[in-house]
Amino acid sequence: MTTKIGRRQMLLAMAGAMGTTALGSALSRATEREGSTADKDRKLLFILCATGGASIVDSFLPVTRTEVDDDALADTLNVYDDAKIITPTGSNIRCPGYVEPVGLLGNLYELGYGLDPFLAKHHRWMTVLTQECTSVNHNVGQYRSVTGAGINRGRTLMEAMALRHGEDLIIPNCNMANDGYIQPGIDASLPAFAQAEIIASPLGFAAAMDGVKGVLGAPDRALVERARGVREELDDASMFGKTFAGSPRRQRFLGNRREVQPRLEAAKMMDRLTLLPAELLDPKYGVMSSPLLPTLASKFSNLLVDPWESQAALSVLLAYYGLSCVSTIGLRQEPTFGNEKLITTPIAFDFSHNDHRMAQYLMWGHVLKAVDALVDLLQQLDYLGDPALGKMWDRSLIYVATDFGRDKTRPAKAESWGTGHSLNNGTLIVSPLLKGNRVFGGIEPTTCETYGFDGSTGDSTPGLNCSEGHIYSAIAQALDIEFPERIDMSALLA
Amino acid sequence: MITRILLHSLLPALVLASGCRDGGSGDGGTTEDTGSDEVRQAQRGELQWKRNAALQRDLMRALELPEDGVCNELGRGSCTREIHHIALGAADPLRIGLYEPLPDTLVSTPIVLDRVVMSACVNRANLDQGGAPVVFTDLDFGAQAPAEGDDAFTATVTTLYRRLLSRDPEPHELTTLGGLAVDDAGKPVSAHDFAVLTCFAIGTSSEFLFF
Repeated sequence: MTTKIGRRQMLLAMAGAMGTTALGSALSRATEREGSTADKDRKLLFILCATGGASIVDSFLPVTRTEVDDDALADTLNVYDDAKIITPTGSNIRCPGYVEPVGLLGNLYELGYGLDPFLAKHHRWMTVLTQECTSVNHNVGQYRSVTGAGINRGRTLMEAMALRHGEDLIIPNCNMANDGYIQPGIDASLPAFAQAEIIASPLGFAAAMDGVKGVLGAPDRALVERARGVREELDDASMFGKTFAGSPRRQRFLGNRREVQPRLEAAKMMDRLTLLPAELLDPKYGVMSSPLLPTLASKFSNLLVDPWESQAALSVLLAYYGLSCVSTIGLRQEPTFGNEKLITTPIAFDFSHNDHRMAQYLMWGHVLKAVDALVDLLQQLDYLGDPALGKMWDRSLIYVATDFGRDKTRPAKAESWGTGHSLNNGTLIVSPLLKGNRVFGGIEPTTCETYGFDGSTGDSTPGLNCSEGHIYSAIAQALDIEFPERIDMSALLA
Repeated sequence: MITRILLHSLLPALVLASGCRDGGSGDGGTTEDTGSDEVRQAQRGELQWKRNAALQRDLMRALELPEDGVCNELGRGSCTREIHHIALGAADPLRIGLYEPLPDTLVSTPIVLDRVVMSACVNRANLDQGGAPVVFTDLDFGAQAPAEGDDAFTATVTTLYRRLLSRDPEPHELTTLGGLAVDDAGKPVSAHDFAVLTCFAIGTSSEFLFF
């Protein structure tokens, strides 16, 4: 164990040092050491939680009026004019083009990112899977989207991922999302290290990496270490300590304090994870911005005011510096302001109750903007700053999880309408680990309902439904996570 | 009549409470005074985690600090209520839909606790150094830390034990804390550092953080 900690500390220290000159000019610096077997084999999972019901029919499985072949029926379905659908060159996937901000509160929105530029840029990494979930309750749907409705002993994907790839990482499973997406699994046998570290404040999380740095007036670190040593001595020798020596809660706390905290502080992660720019850091605290902040800020320009972007930026840092192997981020319920207008809707995708098409277009754009940034960054950065380990992207999978789908119908000829929750939907995964530029499953134009596919052959079959368990299994298989109940999804693998 | 009923119902509890306080002279079994110094380990070991609001209030009470005088993270918000509230055991139903607080501490919890208690201790020491002392009344902030065994040393440690743990220090605890009056080279530290370090060591003990 000691050897493992030493190796990890060295690894983190080196990764951090590389981070100070990350990208471009310093690519040769990390060749002096080789990553461990675990580092080489490790996969990275990013779960982006599209809270509120992201509809695949309004993103990458749209239906056109012509395909319905019945004008009267098309008037009552969530279909798009043929001219509105865009299929970029080389893409086997299509999407709606620009959607005019009409309808309720339409002029309050600022449309920042379209679906078609994303598709044109990333189609070769995009895998669309149809599915039918099992709940239209937000919290339940969210939870099942990350547990596969309990297919893996009740473990969440994040827990399974941490168990498979995160045993020697300090905080392998970081979760910044919300509601059902942050609920733990129900496998009581799950080791503590695989449980989620819940992060509510991505901008402030860096401070949780060091017990002293930035605390004004704190004595010299050597003296603090002396006080910590005295404290541990007092803790073990006190009547309280002896009486409750067997308390699991106290043992867990002391285990983290005595074993994990020194590793984190030795790795000097506070500066590396600080997302605040220099102008927002009073020099008196002695805290620096992350060396990667300029790179991150170039992709996440709104990260100081948009929690979605700050979460995504932190997820990159957590993976890059070898702290975690799975990060989960989630859209917040409150809207985010851009320059003058709203760039997200209130209650995220669930604003579809009020204005379906506008909410879906705006929120899909917001989600995909972050996916685009993540892909760019992961393609740019060497894992752990070590060129020998390859780009982070080569081992990454981005799963856009959502609660459920939305209703497929609309009032006749309505241009703006509201939708309820629907079990029927689909899922977007962006990764080099799966067959990209592919839709698995299909959609019936006369109902706008999706149908499933056979995971072992990839064949789409009307009448067949894929469940949350299929999605969970596909992701697990791509990430080398094995469990007895896993459904064979070999046809999806790259 | 009502008073009599209340007294009758409370009497057994009062008797039990006084019995426990004496170390268990009855036949309760696990708390029997054997006359030795041996401490029996709790069979169930169930402890509660002193969560963010309770931690904040206890530090405010023990160190006589205002609410905003406990810990402000890099000048950007309350450590206990805004920045690190989840790691300190709070729920957050409105922002992240965490309707019930987490059952157990997180990896970052001990680190965050160090920051909160350190900040509170520094703030108290600064206030006492700059004005009429409230907690560190026996220290001369212009001088070095008192040596172990000095009246000022014992008084300061005793005050902190009473304020933070509601008990007096044991002799061995006084001896152990003597190590904070000097640095690694054996040179006396400043009275200010001694005040902060002693407060920090006691205030981050598991005895203060669990109950």
